[in-house]
Amino acid sequence: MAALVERLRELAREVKDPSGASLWLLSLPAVQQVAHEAVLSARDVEIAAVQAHILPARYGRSLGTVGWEGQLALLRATVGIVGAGGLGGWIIEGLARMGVGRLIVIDGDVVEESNLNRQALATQRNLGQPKAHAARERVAEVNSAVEVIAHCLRVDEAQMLQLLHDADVLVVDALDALPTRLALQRVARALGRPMVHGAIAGFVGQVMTILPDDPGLTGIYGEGQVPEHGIETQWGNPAATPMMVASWQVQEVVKLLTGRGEPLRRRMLFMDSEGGSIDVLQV
Amino acid sequence: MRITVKLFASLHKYQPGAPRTGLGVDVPEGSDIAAVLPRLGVPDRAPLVAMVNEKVEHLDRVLKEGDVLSLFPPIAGGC
Repeated sequence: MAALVERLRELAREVKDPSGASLWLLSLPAVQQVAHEAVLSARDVEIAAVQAHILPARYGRSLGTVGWEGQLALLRATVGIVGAGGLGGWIIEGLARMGVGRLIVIDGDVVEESNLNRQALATQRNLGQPKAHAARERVAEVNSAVEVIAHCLRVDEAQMLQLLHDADVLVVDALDALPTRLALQRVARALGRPMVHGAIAGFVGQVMTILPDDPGLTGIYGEGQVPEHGIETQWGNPAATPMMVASWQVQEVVKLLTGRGEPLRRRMLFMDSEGGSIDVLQV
Repeated sequence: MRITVKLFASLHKYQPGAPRTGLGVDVPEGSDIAAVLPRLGVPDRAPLVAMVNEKVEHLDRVLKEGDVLSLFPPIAGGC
């Protein structure tokens, strides 16, 4: 470990931050070089660097928000994202850029034309590709230190419980049906993990963080029969609504992992971009 | 007694002129949420979530003077 840190110091370059203090930065090629030399994953190299207060240059603009300890926590974390569509695609993009070390991505669909109006992972070139694989490829392009475990599956509750068992911290709800979301909440509760809920329809969206002890979605929708879908079946999903909600979900994950800020716990943020209002409701 | 009603998202169509800050509605003393819905033009059995003073409540929750009743449709899209 000492040898590794020594090597990282050799390859790092010193810059002055806005306050005039010294900051040691490690470039992407340097991370890759050390990973190759030491036969380590890029993530492990970045973890070692951050522990030694040498910052992989890619996180230069995150440091002021999450701090060294926060960046370390993000790199060490495993987050499960169920659904790689409208919400999931932007969530995966955001978490990868923040350096969440491992992402478990579960999605049984392939990219379709109707996804192109809003889904970050959908392009004209990858139509027909399983979305979980599209996620893995995209993450490799934006942050190769992040490992993606891709499951191309339409999962039931038992499968979610099994596949998310390794999510040592969080599960993110990026699903498109209400009963499956309730199942995911039961899974998160059984695993003792927090869940970040998000949902969209037309111009509106909602976000809430649910800890295992919280009533969460059952507090809103009850324990009984719930409709499969909501108003999104009539209102559709334009480009910016999933971006709007996914952004808040990413921030919730970052806050939970770094311990900074106040998660939306027992609070549902309801955003109406048509009328231009945001309400916070106690749940 | 007077309560304030806020209709969110697709439910706004039942009271299109309603101000953002909420609509003042006079209801009989002892009314529960279920009794108020027909007065707003909200159809029977329309799936919705009801909150009183920002807390989720069942439809049999009895309302009091000055309560703020917020009604939401289910929103389940993610894809």
